[in-house]
Amino acid sequence: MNGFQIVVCGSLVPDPLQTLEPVTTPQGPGLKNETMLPSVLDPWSAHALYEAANLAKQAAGSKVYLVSLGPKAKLQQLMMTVAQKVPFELVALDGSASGFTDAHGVAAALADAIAAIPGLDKSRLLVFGGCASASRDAGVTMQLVCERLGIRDFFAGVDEIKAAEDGSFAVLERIEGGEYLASTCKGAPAVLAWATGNLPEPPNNPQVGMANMRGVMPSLMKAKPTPAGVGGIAYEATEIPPQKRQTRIVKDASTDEIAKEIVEWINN
Amino acid sequence: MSKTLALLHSQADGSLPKAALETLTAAAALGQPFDVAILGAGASAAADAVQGCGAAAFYTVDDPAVAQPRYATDAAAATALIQASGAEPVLAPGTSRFARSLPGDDDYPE
Repeated sequence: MNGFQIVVCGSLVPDPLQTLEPVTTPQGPGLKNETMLPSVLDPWSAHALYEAANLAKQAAGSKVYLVSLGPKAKLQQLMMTVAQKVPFELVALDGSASGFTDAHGVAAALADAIAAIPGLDKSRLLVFGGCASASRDAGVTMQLVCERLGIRDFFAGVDEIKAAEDGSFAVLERIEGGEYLASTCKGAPAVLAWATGNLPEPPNNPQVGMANMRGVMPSLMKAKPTPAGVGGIAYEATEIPPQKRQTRIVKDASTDEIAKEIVEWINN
Repeated sequence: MSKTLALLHSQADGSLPKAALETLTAAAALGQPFDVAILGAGASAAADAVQGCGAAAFYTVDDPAVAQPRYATDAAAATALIQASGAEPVLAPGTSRFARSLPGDDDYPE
């Protein structure tokens, strides 16, 4: 086998350490000062990207693409850091990365962009993405991309992929009760929506950054305007969920007291 | 909303998971007529086990192809069940099996 073509779908989200305030704008719902908020690569997509790079390293002849839908200027900022992590070729789409965009519209844009990648070989195609998003936890976009690309194998909440010499691969998916569903797939094409995977964030590598930026800038220059709106949905109101602390801090409790409380909690 | 569908799946041992029973309770609590559809191993027996829930009709896919959770077969079975019932809206438990397969349960051009 000649390696995989691994396409990672991932875009930016507001830095989760920021205070986010939903507001209604003339263009629909959004975040207060959205354009000013610092952005990071969506953490779920980041895991997918690092796993893709790791798989590409193991399967000779593989190549990683990053398909990213977001405001062009913000994508450019984001690439200054992301491009230093792992080798990839960027396919940029200039549009909204808001958490209020409709998953169907986003999926259509991503699927069209993937299908248009020059030299795409479906028999080697693995599409990676996050199983959710830090900006909108719908958890449906990758399935919709899968359907639009006509791919029939989909795995959700993936934490591990192990490829064999013959192109087949084994996948671990998170399921209930802290367990894994282990599957084997005969080979590409397939879509994998990643949970956290097992890899740490790679350190910045300036050489990788230099190599990536040669493709990043042209990709940003020719990024197509991609309208991905709210899909005709009217939001009556938006608000941040109230913070609920369900823990309490008790100092100097004895082991017996702690055990007694746990038993009472289980019995109730 | 004339009729609701409670779309459920069984577990490996043929029983319904707790989340499925909660979905069934929610469908009944709406106070509207509802159908029950179940896919998975032992789906027919699972349907028998909840026969007294007040559903207007039961639909099942009980086949080795859906004994194990798998995207393509689960999505195809769910589509068939939803179409057979014709009811909407569809209520389903947010289990890993349905979180995987139901979002793709739609018709798109290949």
